[in-house]
Amino acid sequence: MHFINETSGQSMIEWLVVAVIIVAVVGAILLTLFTTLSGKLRAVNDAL
Amino acid sequence: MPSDWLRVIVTLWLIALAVIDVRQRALPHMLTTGPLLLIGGGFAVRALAPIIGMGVPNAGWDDVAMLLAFATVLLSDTWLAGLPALTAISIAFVLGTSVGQMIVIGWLLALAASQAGFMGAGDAKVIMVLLALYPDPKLGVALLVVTGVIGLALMLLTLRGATGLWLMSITRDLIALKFPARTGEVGQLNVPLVPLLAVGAAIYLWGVI
Repeated sequence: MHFINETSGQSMIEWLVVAVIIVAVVGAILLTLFTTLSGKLRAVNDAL
Repeated sequence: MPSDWLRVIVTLWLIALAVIDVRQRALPHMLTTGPLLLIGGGFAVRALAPIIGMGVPNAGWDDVAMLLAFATVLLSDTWLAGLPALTAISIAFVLGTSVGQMIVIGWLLALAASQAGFMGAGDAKVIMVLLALYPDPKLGVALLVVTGVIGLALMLLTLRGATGLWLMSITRDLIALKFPARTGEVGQLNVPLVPLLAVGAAIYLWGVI
């Protein structure tokens, strides 16, 4: 129950900025991947 | 659009927490743990009521996934927490909807950040309550963007000319698929996070995005 009992309101901004950068980079890569894939699949579907 | 009363209550709650966080660097249980336990209890009732024959409107697999995410929070002192965490992710993505997925992923990420020591437990609880009330990807984006932009500005103030080197070292580590190395004593900056979260949530709640 350490998490439940803890009340700290301090965060390490250095790590959080790194986490935001990682989420942004990975998110952008996944979004590009899915958008490209969806376009390709739509093209295949239209060609059928 | 969220209901007006809830928006006002959540905004006042965030303002109160931001003031307390700046002054005391700690968040009271009454405003963080209390709402979190109430929400977790709500998930439990919604998930378990159908088993004993009680009808709950719109209850579904999302509630089971969210109850398991809550169980992960309660068991987070031990490695046993991995079991409900993995089950929650599986149920949310195989049987659930985007609402359950958003809450489960958000809760587990906030818990992991707190357990790893990046984020105070009080801050993580505030994020969990916000995501449970508004399971919307736009809220997640608003919180991430505000934290990222203000955090980067604070890092610029701290590191000054060395910021470029810090960003280069992060990029180099990420390209090598390594977890970024710490900057050492210069870059370590402890801040009260709730004011940043309050700005991000206010942008979402009051319709800027």
